Amino acid sequence: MATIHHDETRSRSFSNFLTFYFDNRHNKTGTVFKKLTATTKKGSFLPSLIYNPDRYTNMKHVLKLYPVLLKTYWQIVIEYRGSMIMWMLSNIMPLIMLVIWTSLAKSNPIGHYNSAEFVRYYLALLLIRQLVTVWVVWDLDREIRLGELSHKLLKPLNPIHYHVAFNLADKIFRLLTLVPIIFAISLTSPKLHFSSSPITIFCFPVSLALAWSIRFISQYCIGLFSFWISHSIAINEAFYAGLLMLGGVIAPLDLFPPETTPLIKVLPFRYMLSLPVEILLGQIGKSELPEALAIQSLWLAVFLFLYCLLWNKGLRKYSAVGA
Amino acid sequence: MKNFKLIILFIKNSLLIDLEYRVHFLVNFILSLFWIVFSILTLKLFFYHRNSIGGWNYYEAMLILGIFSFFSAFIEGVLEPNVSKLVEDIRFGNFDFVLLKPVNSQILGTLRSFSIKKFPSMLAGIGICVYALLRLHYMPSIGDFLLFLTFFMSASLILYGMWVTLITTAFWFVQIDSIMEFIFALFETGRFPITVYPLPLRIALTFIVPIAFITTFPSAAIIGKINGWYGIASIGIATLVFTISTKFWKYALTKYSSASS
Repeated sequence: MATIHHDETRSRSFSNFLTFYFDNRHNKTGTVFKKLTATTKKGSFLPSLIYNPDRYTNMKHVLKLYPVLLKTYWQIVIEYRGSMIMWMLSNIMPLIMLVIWTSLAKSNPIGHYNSAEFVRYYLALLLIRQLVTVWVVWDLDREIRLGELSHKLLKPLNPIHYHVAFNLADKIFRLLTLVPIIFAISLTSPKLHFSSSPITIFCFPVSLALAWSIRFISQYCIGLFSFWISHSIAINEAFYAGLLMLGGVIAPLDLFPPETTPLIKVLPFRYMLSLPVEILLGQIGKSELPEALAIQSLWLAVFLFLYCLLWNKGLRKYSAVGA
Repeated sequence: MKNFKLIILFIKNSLLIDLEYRVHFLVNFILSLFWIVFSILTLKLFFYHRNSIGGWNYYEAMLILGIFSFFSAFIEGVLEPNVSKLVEDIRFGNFDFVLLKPVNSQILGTLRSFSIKKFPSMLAGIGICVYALLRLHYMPSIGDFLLFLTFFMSASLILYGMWVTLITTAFWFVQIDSIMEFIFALFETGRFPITVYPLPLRIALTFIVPIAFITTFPSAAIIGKINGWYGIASIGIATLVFTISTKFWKYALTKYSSASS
């Protein structure tokens, strides 16, 4: 039941602590701000354009801040390495599904999946899932509800960049720990090898980056609903259920009844998790690939648009606690 | 008797708190219905490809799902709310006040706050069971029902005992929420019949972490699919887990040294 979503939740106390921690740590970022404030005149980055003219609006300048942001958050991630590893291990749901499916496929294959194929599928899924994990909705919801957003708004950088940097720092940690293990397992048997065709090598990183972006921006949008309602976490839970079901965690998507295929193709869930998996396994044909990537990009555009809309409307609505 | 009255009082208290946040109550209820639909769809997908999993047909497996839903709501509604409170009390030294009160410290420490908004999900879990039984056209005999009750009570006791043992480790580790998360994830295995798992895992889930006794065996009892001896085993395991947990709790109390002392 509701326990399913737990493997991606961060406990409130944990992220709360991180925020306080970060706010005492940002001095370094502050000096870079000062250096750069003078030079932000030209260009504009759409989402941050509207309400504060003093903001960093030039994407080039924003990118210059990223090394510092990443470094700061990397230190936080390292400090909590024990909890981080525990969170990663709690991601047990795909393993349960794997055990069930292999037991069902023992006598004869299900679709084109025999036991080894299921292992290969879920190995890839575990890998991708580690790389697209996002928890920004809990942080954002708390910041808006408790008014912690206020001091981020005083800084001349769109708050989204702090969250992006935090998430990317976490991804670096996962790239260095769990990902090599999964790759090593896949190399042990030829039955488990991932696809290494040129198409995969080119399209996989693109699709993975898109998947992470859709996941991040969509969750950020849901978090922004906290400007209006106090149950954005509940919306996220429903969205997460969609991801589990139609994103390929419960079952590989080609095991769904054929009449659901159009639905799966249109909804965003496949593009947040399953598509990179399909590409990595070489399951998706050359002819379907451009269409799939196009829909994926389209969903990113939709959520980016929604983000701009919600952020600008929401900030007008925002009043910190006690204001 | 005094302890029983105390628990009733705590439940009343929690109900008053929860009723203050009515919208939250409603949203929670809708969400839990949503997750139940989700679970049933998952089950449907398995049965789209096979007509039995681990020797259980669709409605029998749904019975397990109902029991699972009940107990996961039980964890969220009865056991979990006390964890964060206990951890906080230990960390700040407020646990002193629990020890000072003239009642059983284990009851006060582990059964203090309830999340009443999860109680409707428990009912929903039972609802699934009733529906599955009706579709199975199986009328449990009185013997089946008594055996089921035995399993059911033992299961509650096993869960409570496991939980107390776990949160007792907070006296040493303080920050235990990531460990709790892991155990919670492990409980997910109870969603499906134990027979679907490979043998080593089946043994581990029966004897080391007795999840089989919590979801599969009670369901098997109500449709008369299980030997009565298992009922006796479940009473044995429940007594064992419960005794260990109380002993462990008492031992941990001797290790408690308030904050900053």
